[in-house]
This record gives sequence, structure tokens and C-alpha cells, in this order.
Amino acid sequence: MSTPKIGVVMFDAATDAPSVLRAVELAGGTPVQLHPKTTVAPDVADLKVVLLPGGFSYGDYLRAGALAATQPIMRVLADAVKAEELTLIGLGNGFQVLTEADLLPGAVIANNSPGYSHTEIDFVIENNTTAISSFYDTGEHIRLVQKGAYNHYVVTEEELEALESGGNVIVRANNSTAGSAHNIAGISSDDGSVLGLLASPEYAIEEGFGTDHPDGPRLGVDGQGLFVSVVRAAGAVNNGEGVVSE
Amino acid sequence: MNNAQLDTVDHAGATPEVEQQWAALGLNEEEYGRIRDILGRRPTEAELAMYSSMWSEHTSYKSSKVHLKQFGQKTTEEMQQNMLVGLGENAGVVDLGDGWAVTFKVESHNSPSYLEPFQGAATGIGGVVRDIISMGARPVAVLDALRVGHEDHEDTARIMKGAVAGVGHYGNILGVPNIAGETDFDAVFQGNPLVNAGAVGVLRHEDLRLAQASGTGNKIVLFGARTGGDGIGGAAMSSAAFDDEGAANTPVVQAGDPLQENVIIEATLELFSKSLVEGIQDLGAAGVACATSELAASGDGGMHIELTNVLLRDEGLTAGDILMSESQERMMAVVTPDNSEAFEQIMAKYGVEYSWLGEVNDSGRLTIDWNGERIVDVDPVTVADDGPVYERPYARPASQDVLQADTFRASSAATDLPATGDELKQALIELMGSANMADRSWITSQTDSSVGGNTRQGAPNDSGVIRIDEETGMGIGLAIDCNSRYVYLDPYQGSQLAVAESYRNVATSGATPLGVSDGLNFGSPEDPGVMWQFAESTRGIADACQQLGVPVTGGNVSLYNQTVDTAIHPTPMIVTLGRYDDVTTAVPSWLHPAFDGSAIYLLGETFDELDGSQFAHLRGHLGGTPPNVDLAKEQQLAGLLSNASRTHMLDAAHDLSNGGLAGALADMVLQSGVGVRINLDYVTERDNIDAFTALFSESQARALVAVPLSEEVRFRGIAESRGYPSLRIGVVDAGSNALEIQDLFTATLDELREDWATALPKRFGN
Repeated sequence: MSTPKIGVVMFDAATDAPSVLRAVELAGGTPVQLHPKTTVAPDVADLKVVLLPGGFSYGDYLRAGALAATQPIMRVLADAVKAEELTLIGLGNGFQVLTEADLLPGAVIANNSPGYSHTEIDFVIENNTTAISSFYDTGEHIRLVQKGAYNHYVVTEEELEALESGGNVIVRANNSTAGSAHNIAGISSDDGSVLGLLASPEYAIEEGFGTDHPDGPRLGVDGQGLFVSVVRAAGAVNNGEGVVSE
Repeated sequence: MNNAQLDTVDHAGATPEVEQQWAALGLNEEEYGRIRDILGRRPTEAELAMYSSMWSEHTSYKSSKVHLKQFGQKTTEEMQQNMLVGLGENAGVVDLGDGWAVTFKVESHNSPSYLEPFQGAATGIGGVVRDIISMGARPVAVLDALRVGHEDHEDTARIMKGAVAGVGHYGNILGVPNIAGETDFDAVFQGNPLVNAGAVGVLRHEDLRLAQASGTGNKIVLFGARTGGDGIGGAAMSSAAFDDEGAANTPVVQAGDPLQENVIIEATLELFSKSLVEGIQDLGAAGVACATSELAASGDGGMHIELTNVLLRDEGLTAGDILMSESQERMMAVVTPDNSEAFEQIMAKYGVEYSWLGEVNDSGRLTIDWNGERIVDVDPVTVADDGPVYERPYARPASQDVLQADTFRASSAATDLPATGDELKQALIELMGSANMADRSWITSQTDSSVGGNTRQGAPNDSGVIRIDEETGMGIGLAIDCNSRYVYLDPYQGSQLAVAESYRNVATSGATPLGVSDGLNFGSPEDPGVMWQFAESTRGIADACQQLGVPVTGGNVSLYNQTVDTAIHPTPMIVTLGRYDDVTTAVPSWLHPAFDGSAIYLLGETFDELDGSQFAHLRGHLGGTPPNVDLAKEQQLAGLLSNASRTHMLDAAHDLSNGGLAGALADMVLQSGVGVRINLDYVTERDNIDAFTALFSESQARALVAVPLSEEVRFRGIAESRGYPSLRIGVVDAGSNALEIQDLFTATLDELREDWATALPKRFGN
């Protein structure tokens, strides 16, 4: 059984990338590191899913995600999405790259309480039919790290209405103070080919190093389900029991 | 620059009468005279800049050296067995076994952080991280310790907002988790706050390289950021006290670019892993002047540099400026000619700028040319190693007797001490709502504690814990501590207490302490009273480390921390590093709802020790002598704690320090909102003290542990067999939502939480 390949774009200072690589592996996928200057489609051609990891791409020196969105690889990825050959997923700062690249509607602005904040948030799965949520149940609560100064999602009234009525809101925050419209934390494009989540599931994948859990500190591994979903979407043969370990 | 005005070596030789601005550069007349003697002529302007930077207190340790020697002298052979590299290098290297090694260091960035808190603190992190990568180690964690003025002083918010955001900004963009730290407020730091930044890095034994330039013909290369006008004279600034004029004459604080450093880390580590560099050094204080002279002095002794090859951000810089600039994110490396092409390929891969500056030779001289003219011709050893060494006079100030005689109990602050249940409850609420005891989330949430995915625990725990080996779970714990008020009351004992607390914190979380690094922050060495504090403090640290069997692996000294005549409280920050076979055995310092029903034990004995305590501080009193230190007991306690957590006997463990038993209990219940029921009678009866003393005394060598019922028999067994005083004082009652001290008071968690949670955000929040 071959393990599905998942592309991971290594933007400079995408500080969460190493943990995303590990999370993909733990979920049974094979991460393929993609250089942001890549302009060659063949690098991407045999990939069904590409992840844009979070962190501080290019230091967030302009706006969060703005510089990353202009990197040559983004054109290649957008073309592959358009050709219905690729599912593109942004996590944390990667979500911001997707809105900056106009691949997702809306924008991400400064949190209601300005400045960087690192917290654990309870999220609710609203739609479990997507490439990042198929492992979860609709209505399931998951606890993940949310960090950064820009987790405040804004969108026009019409777009918001379209997101809600189209079932494109995948994840909502239960207790985030960032200030997002309708507490939206995860959305997808209409066809489900572009997805973004304003959270860092890669820090809730290993017992002992995860989020808080009723059974004890750092036992929360709710982020595993997201990576299992991603690996499934990339064509994984899942063993039916969740995580396929190394 | 106009060459006609250039002060060349020839020109200097021909014009001995020229008056030079040695005093403005921080040199005294005798030092200037010595430079002239060494050179046999007056120094050129560039040479003078170089000597003044390298002979500054900050770089040369001229006042502290004679006292720092004992760290090495008091390190026994047994203590050295885990050290791969000892004192003197950028940072010491400690062996962790299985081919792993770790290097760690703490550095001060005090004066820049007062002038410009955000950039000062940010570049503090950047600088200490470059120290770590120049040893060939990958940075895996950073930490920070802040000392700021009174929480309600108008300037304190400026320092706090800037420094906390700066520490976060730099470390977050670097992608290195911040896992430990501490902050203390005291009016004595009002005009001279302390910002100490620490970093820890991991390397394989085979990747260890030391900074030196050996091998005639090897090439010298500068890579990373371009050189600008920032931070010129920083080393000299850090070697002077702020005067009445404040910052008017001080130079620009250097600005940090963590994105650049992020790239430099990867490029540098690839250079190491491919063995493309012979030696490497980061550029910190005194920039190119420091790096060239230190590299040359520790190698074969000769080097030639073409200063015009330095890539500039500002073409208007003079040769002296370029030598002294403290622009951040720059590294200097020594590369063999054979490897130079491969070196260039790495630079191209990461998009890092570089320029070849010169080469190593066997001349025994460091020569620097500018536009074809020689502006420096010195023996590098005289610059880097042969700086002045002072045996500064020191004497115990007479005021120390008065200070120590003024005990808390005898003072007016001790009138109307809380005695009834209600009074004790109010005192506890007030204590936990005070700035020094309040919730640190406002600070810690501004840093990324989870990046890297190896954080077992960060704040708020006694120590931060990071996994190093994913296969085995092996990893490290780190704590940074210093109670400056204790050190002020008794520099020798207080410094031992700082070592003891840091050591205890690492053990409380379950690690075995392996080594310490110190960040020594003191006032002016020209004040014999301050110098006495320094002498006593270093003696205390060295003695404590010897007795505990943990070597001092490195450190940093920051003197002249004072405004006019007021010195800061002496603050030797102590970082202790410990090792875990498996970091998942680490225990938190607070109670989780899952620990419901576990028993709470108090380890150690409580004496009437309130001098220098947080309670005394609340009442505005500082006098007397700090708590007694018993290092044999500390060692026993550490052994008990790390053994118990390694064998899964503990749910949680928290050391008793600031705020004593009351502070520790409140810390434990508030983090996750878990109630406890405590009976103090056992403590007051055994130790023959009243409830107030039991709650607020700061006796040392104590800890609270939560033991699951299933482990109680085993736990009592090892506590007894080790002969350590242990009392079962209560149980975790998660659902009670209260801290109940039976027969005295019940404080609901909401009552305790209100001021505790808001003390920092209401003062410094947005």
C-alpha cells in the first residue's frame, strides 16, 4: 500500500511547516516539500493535495500572507486548482495566503484585541464532507491551538450569506475572541477545492505534546483527524481505525 | 569617504601629537596610554575604535574576570564529565548522551531595552540565538527574564509592552518556542530595567565547531545582513550608567530582522552539516572589530581584511563605523579555499548576501585596509585577550548592617499581621492580585510556546520542557530564576538561593539538573559596595554549584546597571538545564481536573522566614536576611522529586518560592480552576509556627506535590526512605471550585481569580 503524497509549501519563516510535515507523516501520508520559487507544474502534477502551512511567511512584514501569495508557486497551484486537479489547503497563516491570493473569499485582519496571541480554542465542526473534516462528525468539538495577530476573518454580507447557505463554513470557533464574522474559523470554496482553517492542528497530534484534554494536560490530539482527512483526500487507504502510524 | 582625511597607520605614526577622543569612547587615560605603548605609536581612529570596543566592560569583562575565574576553579572533575566545551566559548556545551549535546546561554540586553524596549528585547533574543548557532547548534527554545520598575509607574507600561512584544516578535518569527521566563516588578529597576534573553540549542557531537581562524590561506567571509549605522558604540554604552541627561547622547539601538535570521539559521546549520566552515562567529557587540580580532586571536594569529569589501546599507559609513557597527543578523566564517565555491552555493540557495573580506595568514598581525590604505595593524591578541584586568576595590557597605538589622518582624510593616481566617483570606487574595504574583498569561500568550511540536510544557510551569530525540523521548528542562531582593539582603546567600531555586524548579518538573548558565546584572563596578555584591554573588554561585554538583557552563556579565547613584538590586539570573530520559514523565506545576481526588503533600519544613518575602514586599518592607539556604536538602529534595516523577508517582509538583505555601497553592488551583481542601494544622504543629507563617513564609527546599491515591503508598515509601520531611496536607477536590484551608477560610476560585487574572492586562493590555 503506497502512502499518498501531500505537498507542503516551504515559505520562508512558515514556522509551522516542520510540524505539518510531521503531522502528515503520523497520519500516514508522505510529505513532499515544495519550494515557493517553483514555477514548474510537474513538481505539483502528481500531487492531489497541497498544504500551505502557517507561521509567519516572509515575517508577515507586509500583511500576513501577502508576500507569500505573490510567490511563483502560487500561480502553479492556482492553475492546478482551476484545472480541477488539486485540493489546496491553508492552515493558520496559510489561510491568509489563500485570501491574499483571492482563492478564498474575504480577508483576515487584526484580532479584536491587537497583537500576537497564542491560545487553545474550542472549535465545532460544521461540515464533515470536506478534505479537512471527513474524519470528524458534524457537531464534534475539537480543541486546537490558535495563534497569531491575524485570526479575525471578515467578509462582505453577500459572501457571508453565500458561505453559510452553501455549507462552506466548515469550522466555527466556540470561544475565540479574534472577532471573526459568525466566529468562522474554517471555510471552503464552492467546489471544495480550496480550504482554509485559522488554527494550527499540527500542535494537537501527539499525546504528551498536544492540547489540554479532560484526561490530563497535553493529551489532546484532536488535530489528528484533520490530517487523516487530508491523507484520505489524497487517496489514502485508511485502515478504518484512524491514524496510520509510521 | 574621503581618503585625504583617512587616519592611516602611516599617518598615525607621523602625527603622534594628534588629540584623540579616547574618553568619549569609554577609555580611561591609563588604558589609552597602554594602547600607545602596545602599538609604539598613537592608534589610528579605527584602531582606537577597535580597542575601545574590545576593552569595554561589556566585551572584556575587565572588572569581573578575576571573580569569574572561580566558576572554573570550583568545577570538579566529576562535574566536568558531562561538559564537551567549558567556559570561555560563546556558550558551554553539555553532553546528553547518544551523540546528542546541548548548548545554552543567557545574555543581557538591558540598556537598548530601556531606550527602545521593542527592538532592544527583540535583538536580545536574536543575539543569543546567534551565539547558539555559531556553535553549530539548532536553537530549540528561547526564554526571557524581565525586571521592570513599579507596576504603576507611568514608564513601566512602555517597557513592558515593548519588551514583551519584542521578545515575542523575534522568537515567533524565528519559529523557536519560548518555554520559560519570569518577570518581577520593583521600583529599583525604574530607570534601568533588565531584559535577559536565553536560548538553548541542540547539536550532534560531530557538528561541534569552535570559533577560530586557523590555517594560513583560509578565507574570511561575512554573511547575512548588510552593515548599517545601527548600534555603533553599543558595547561602550552598555558599559556606562545612564546619566541625568538620559539617552540624549546614546547611539541608535540596533533593529532586528527575524526573517533574515530565520534564513541565516538554516544556511549556517547547512554549512556546519556539510563541514564547509573551519570556524564561525556571530557579530554582536563591537561587530566586525570584535569578530575579526577574536577569530584571529584564537587561531594562528594573523589575518588580513579588506574593509571596503563589507556590503553596506549606508554608503556614508566611515571605516570606524563599519568596524564598530552592531547591525544584526550577521555572521563571520572561516572557509578553506577548496570549500569557497560550495559555501557560495549554500548562500545562493538561501538567498543570503555575503562578501569575502580577506584571509588568514601567519603574520601574527591583524591588518585592515580601507581603499588601499592600511588603517589597522595590530597584534589581535592585544585587542581580544590582553585587555585590562582590574582588581576593583570592594567592601561591604556599612549600610548592609543597617539593612540586615531591619527585620520584617521588628518593623512597623509587621503590625496587624493577618491572623483570623478572614484576614488570612484577604491577605491571600491581595498577594495573588499583586503584580509579582499575578497571572502571567498576558506575557506568555504573546510568545509561541508550541512551534516545533516538541514542547512538552511551557509557561506556567516551574520549568519549560522540550523533547530532543523523537525516537526515545529524551529531552531537556530549563528554568530561569533570581530573587533580586534576597540577593540585595545578602549577596552570597541570596545568590545561592537563586541557584537553589532554579535547580529546584528543574527537578520539580522531573528533570535531573546538569548545568547552569548565569546572567549577572549589577550596578557600577567602580562603586566598592556594588563590587562587593558582585564578589559575594559570584562566590555564592560558584560554591552552590560546586555543592550541588552542577557546573557553570557559561554566562554573561552586565555592569553599570544604575541611574546616577542608585544601583539596581544585584540580579544574578540563573538558568538551570536538566535532562529527561523521556520528557513525557515531566509533571505540570498546577492541578488539572483529571487529578481530582489526588492527595497533596508538602515536602520540607517551614520556618519563620519572612524577610525579603513577597508578603513583606506587599507591605513595602525590605530588610533583614533572606531565608536560610541548605544545599544538601535541596539536593535531597531534587533527587526525590525527579525520582518520583520519573516513576510516575506524581500528578503535579510545584516548588515553593515567592509567596510561600499560600502562593504555591493558589498558583496550583488557579491555572485550570481546580479546588483543594487543605489542613494546615499538621504544618503548624510539626513546625511550631502560626497559620500566617505557615502560609506566607518563604522557607526553601520545599515543594507541593499531588499524588494519585494509587501511588500514595509508594510515594510515602520513597519520601521516608530518603528521610525527607513530608506531610499529607490535603486533597484535590476539583468540583469544589475553592481553595479551602480547613477551620480558617474558604476562598472561591472566582474570588481568588479576579485580581490575579486582571493585574497585568489592566495595566499593560490594549
